[in-house]
Amino acid sequence: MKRIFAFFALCSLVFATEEYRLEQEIDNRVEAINARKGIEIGGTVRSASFNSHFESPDVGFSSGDNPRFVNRLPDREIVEFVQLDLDFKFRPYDVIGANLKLRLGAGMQEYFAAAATTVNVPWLNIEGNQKNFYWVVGDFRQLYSPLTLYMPGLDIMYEPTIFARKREMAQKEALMEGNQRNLQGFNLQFRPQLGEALGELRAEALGARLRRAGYLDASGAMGNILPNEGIPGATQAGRFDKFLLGGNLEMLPLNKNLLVGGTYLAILDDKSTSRYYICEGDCSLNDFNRNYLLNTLDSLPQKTFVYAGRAGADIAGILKNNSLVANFTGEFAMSDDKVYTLLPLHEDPEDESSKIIGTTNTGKQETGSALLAQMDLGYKGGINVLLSSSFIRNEASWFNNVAQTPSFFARRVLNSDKDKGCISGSCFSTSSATDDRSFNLSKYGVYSPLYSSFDALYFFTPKFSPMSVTLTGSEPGSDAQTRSYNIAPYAKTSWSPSTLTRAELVLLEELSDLNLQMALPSGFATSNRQGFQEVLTVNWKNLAEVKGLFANYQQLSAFDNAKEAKYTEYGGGAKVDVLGIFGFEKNPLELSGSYKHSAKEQEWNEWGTAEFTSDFINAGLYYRFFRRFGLTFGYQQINSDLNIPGAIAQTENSNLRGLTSIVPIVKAKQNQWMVGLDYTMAKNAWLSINYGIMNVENTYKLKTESHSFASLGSTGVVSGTNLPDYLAVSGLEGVTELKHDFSRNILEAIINVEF
Amino acid sequence: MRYAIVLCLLFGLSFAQETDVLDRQKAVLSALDSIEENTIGFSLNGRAKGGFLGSVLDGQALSDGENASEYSTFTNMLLSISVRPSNETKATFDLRFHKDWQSAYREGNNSPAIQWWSYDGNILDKKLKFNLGTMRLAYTPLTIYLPEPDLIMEPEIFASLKKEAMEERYLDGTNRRLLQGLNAEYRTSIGILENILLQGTFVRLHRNDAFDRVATDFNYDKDRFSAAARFEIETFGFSFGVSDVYTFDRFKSAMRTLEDLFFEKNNVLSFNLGYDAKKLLSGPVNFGVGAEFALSDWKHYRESASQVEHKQLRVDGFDKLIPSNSVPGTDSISRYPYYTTTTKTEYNKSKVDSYENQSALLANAFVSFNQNLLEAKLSGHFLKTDPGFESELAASPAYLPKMPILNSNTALDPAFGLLETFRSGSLENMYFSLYNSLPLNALTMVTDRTDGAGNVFPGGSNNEREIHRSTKLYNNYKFAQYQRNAYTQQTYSRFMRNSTMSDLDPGVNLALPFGYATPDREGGDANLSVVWNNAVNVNGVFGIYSSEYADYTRFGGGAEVNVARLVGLNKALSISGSYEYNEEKKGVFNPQTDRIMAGAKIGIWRGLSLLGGFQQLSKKFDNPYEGIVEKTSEVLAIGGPQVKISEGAEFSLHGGYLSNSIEGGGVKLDLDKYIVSGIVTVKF
Repeated sequence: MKRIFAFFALCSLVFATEEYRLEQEIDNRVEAINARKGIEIGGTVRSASFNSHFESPDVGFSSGDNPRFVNRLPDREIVEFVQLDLDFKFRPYDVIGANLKLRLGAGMQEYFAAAATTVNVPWLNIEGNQKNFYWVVGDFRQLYSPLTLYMPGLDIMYEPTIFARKREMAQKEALMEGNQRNLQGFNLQFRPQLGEALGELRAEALGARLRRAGYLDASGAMGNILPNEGIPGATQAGRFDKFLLGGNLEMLPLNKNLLVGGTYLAILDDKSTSRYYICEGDCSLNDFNRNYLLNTLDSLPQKTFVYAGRAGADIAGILKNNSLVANFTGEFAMSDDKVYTLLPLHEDPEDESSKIIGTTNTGKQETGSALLAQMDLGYKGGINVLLSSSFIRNEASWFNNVAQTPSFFARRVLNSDKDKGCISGSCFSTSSATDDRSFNLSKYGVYSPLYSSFDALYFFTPKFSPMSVTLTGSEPGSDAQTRSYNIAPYAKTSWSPSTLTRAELVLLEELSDLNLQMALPSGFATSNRQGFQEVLTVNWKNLAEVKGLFANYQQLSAFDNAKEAKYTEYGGGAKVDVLGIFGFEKNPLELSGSYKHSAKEQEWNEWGTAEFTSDFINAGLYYRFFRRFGLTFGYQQINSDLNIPGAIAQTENSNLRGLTSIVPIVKAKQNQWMVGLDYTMAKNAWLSINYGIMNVENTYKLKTESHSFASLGSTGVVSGTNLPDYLAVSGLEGVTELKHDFSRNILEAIINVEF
Repeated sequence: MRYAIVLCLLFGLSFAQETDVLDRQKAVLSALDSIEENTIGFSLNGRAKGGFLGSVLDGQALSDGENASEYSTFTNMLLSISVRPSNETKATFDLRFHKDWQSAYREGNNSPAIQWWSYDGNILDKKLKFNLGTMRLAYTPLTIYLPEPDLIMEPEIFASLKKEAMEERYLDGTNRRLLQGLNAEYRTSIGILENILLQGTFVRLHRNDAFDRVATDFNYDKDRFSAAARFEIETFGFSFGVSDVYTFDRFKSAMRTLEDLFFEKNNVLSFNLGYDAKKLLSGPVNFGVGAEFALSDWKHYRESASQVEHKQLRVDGFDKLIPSNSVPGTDSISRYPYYTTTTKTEYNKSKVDSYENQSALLANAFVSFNQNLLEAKLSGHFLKTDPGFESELAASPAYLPKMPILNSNTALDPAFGLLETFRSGSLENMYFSLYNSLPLNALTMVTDRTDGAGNVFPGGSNNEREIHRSTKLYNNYKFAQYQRNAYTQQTYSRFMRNSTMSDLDPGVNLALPFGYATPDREGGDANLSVVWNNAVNVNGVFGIYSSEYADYTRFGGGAEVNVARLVGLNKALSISGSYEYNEEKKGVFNPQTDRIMAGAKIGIWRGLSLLGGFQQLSKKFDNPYEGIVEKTSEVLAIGGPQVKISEGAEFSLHGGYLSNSIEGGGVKLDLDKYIVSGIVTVKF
């Protein structure tokens, strides 16, 4: 067929315009017909309806004759959305194809605002596969190793199914898959199979743009870590085009039982792309806009190189022993990162008292090393026993943001509108309902009054439209705006596959939830850590399993004024399929539970030994009946304590300038239970109706004998803190601790169907 | 089944030796049409493209002496959704998705743009063809036509870059205009009257879009429509046609203010007559002649608003008017009649300017020779257009450089003053284009910062200004798609054209910037093309035109040699080169331009080939262009490998050097750009 066309094309190779044009037309048409090689369509329907009813006995707080402040924002947040991800795979069985994920979304409230419903392309790429060579251009995911290219996540031991499913949905909505990092660029993988002795060769290279020079809406909640805050890392606007280039070479000889490999990464800001930011003379921007638009607060070009070598062996595999587990891998990595020292730039360089007109910096390359050794030892038989050991030694100067940026960044989700504090002076106005002196605190994540770890972990809203502060239907003028971020739709979720800068990571670490990310916020690539982790697992026929965990880490180099921090984690858990044991395999009744204790200890010269401890309890039940119906129950509890030196250290070291001060939570109790009924069609397809209650009891420390965390006005008003507005009312003279209780009743209906 | 049809047709045809190539090609096309027509139902097709284009700008003009880079790294997809309810009609929707690579933050709502929608059909036994929605359309060179850059022997690499830039604007290089509306064509034959064509077209050219602040592309303050009809007939090689195109503003669609509004009307009536001797002459020689004669009317109106006082006689206490021709009744005798005055805004239309019965004559003739291995064709045009001749739908050019394409975000040293305006030369505009999707905020939305801070809604209270100040725009969930592209599908009325296109790029179509419908031209051109063995192609062009204000001369020539065919290689190997000179004399600026092009394509191995091209364009002005530019010189050298991965899928990697040197007023602005691009494309 093609030859006939070729013959024809040859016959008609004349240059007369008409014939030439027709010939071109024929060629194009034939090519287009030949290029049509089918389509596969798959996708996911994701729908949730959360009704979260907020309650707190403190809302009605009143003190003597003083007027009482009432947080007028609604107690109830109803989130309803439907998302349809349509996955098109064009030319699915050809050497080249294209993939498109078309995301159609609707919030069920938007009936009259059809234009506000979303049609989006979160994933688009072209990929090819020829023999042993696979390549992709556009969106892709890639993981090399925990120290090189990796996305650290969270591990919750025996997380109850009812919650684990919610977390899976939230992570998939953010397009995350395991510990692979999401990137946009090109990725090449050449993996020839060289026979038993030589095994497999992996020669891989990738290039991606992590960030582009461009503006973001600096006061919007979308695309910023802390909108409207004048601190480094607050806005994610790209000062430069930031590129990642990487190469990975691995050899897996002896039937893939040995591994030798190395990785090279370069993460570079191209300084010459910052031309957007030239703002000489009068560029009509005030300081605020200059800092935000031009992102002058995070404006030093990154220049990081990472070299890593790794080796591993599966001894049991080499010995061809099926009942033994014995494998180890070791990786050593070096980073070479440009580090800057910032100095103020004075109008008169000779005179240090003259006006500061900017900053200047001196940069030098600083190297840091990281070591990760992992070993699994065990026995496989009637009972499987496995001991997994990990050891890390990462210097403080070790830096690799494509391995250190975590996928979880604790944010506020449910009832975020209600999350308000007082801005200054008196929190309330008796004269005018619209003279609202409170401000929305939800952007401060873990420091927000209504923060709960469970809220951050398990809930998300793809498109959330915040409420106007005054609840009046005015134009988007200043009255209706929160002082924290713009009233504009944004995605409310803690899960993000982004890659952050050094300044953003510093901010993120400060805002991380210590209950979930204490010892290793950046996974095994966390810098300034040395220590080990042991996990022992005993499993019987997949029907019963017991696990024990012990980990101990410490900082390698201390901060100024402090000694090295020490981290300890221990715990254990079990799961058992009660009915499975008795042979009812089609109707499993699975019970699970775990307990984990985490502690951080650090000695500060000035304040003493700071201690933070956290205990996390999980209990779950899953019972399947009538083949597809399921009954689920989950209970979680987190209790945490922060001692006074810890509280002082937390507030004194804070970068959050937007708040006058952070009033520390010295004791927090978080509980959550949920019960649900589900209909499960396949592993990733279920419908469920759940009801549960999440409650939190936080104890804030206002002052100690020697230290005051919040400044009390003459009438005892606490303002400009992270205390909820209704707690910060007057009449607090002499009070040293405040208790804040709140709870959420959650009723939800979920559909998650992957097809 | 569908392939079987083509195969049958092809085998049949290969035995019919006497059938001529053109007819066979048409038959194959019609077979392909029938394959597509019989694929009834819903289909998804399109193409995906991904890669990068980086440009590093170098030159002393950068204020701090350092390079400036710009990278466009993207994935985009054109998804064409078509529905064919029967083999006669088809509805098509094109969605364009575009993602600029970054994984720093979660993107907001990056919606697709709908760039094409149409419902097309071929009904009544394929006699009536219709298009509803977006369409490409051309009548004749003096009525509906899209003048495109006319270059001699453009090397393949340049042609493909230009094609890509034009495709971004949905232009396909066939001189057809991109229009939206309704078009119907009825074709039939009666006895000796072959190919009788009746065609009618109604399209909207502009929409009243005064509030679209985002783009200068679409701003127009009233609706503008065009209605056209055409009749053609052919017999014994003779053809005759008549067409009429009427273009007008719809008065009532304008936003009325107290300021004057201007409207234009344009009518073109055209007759064409032609003869092609192909049917008569069976030997190696053929000839043909043709002529199109058009008459145009163009009228320019002003609608002025005036405040007119109306007096009315009333009677106190009675809220009623007293008819002016009657005497107040007895009831009202006791009361005093009095006058009330009301002021009304009245609009009066007056003709400001007009050119009526202006003519244009375009005649063409060709003689061709085709025997054995040699094919030669000599063709020529004669053109005479009156100064007032106006044919809007034929005179709006496809190429209209308005903005820098590459490194546009880089400010140059202010010392170069106005020379900066010319920072992007012809070659950049003609061969490069950018497409971006950016978060919408004031800085990406508003092009001029008239009130100092980029406020979107200038004139608000201080408070509002603060709120709407550049960074604060309450739609941060949205993305928008932007283009930097010198090609346009727009039509311009005479008034718009005269006010916006006085400074057209003199490097392209100097004598006939608006195609054959350029007003005030007299002259002609000749084109000789000689092809030997389908391997050597030599082309020469010569043209002289004059107008009331200037004389134009164009000459040039080029050659293309398909070496592979000459020496019998089975890999592609061809080279081409051309030279073109254009000049204006007795005009205002009197530019003289030289263009040298050279290119090569070398097949290396299987689908891998190397493409390269060099182009130099120099312009010289007797009087400084726009009062400042005396001389410019541009060079573009670009080349690299191209790999055909599979059917409809290829990868191309280009490295290039683009320089632009502008001299004027004793100052010289040198800009060098180093360009790298790597793009993979797949159709499906």
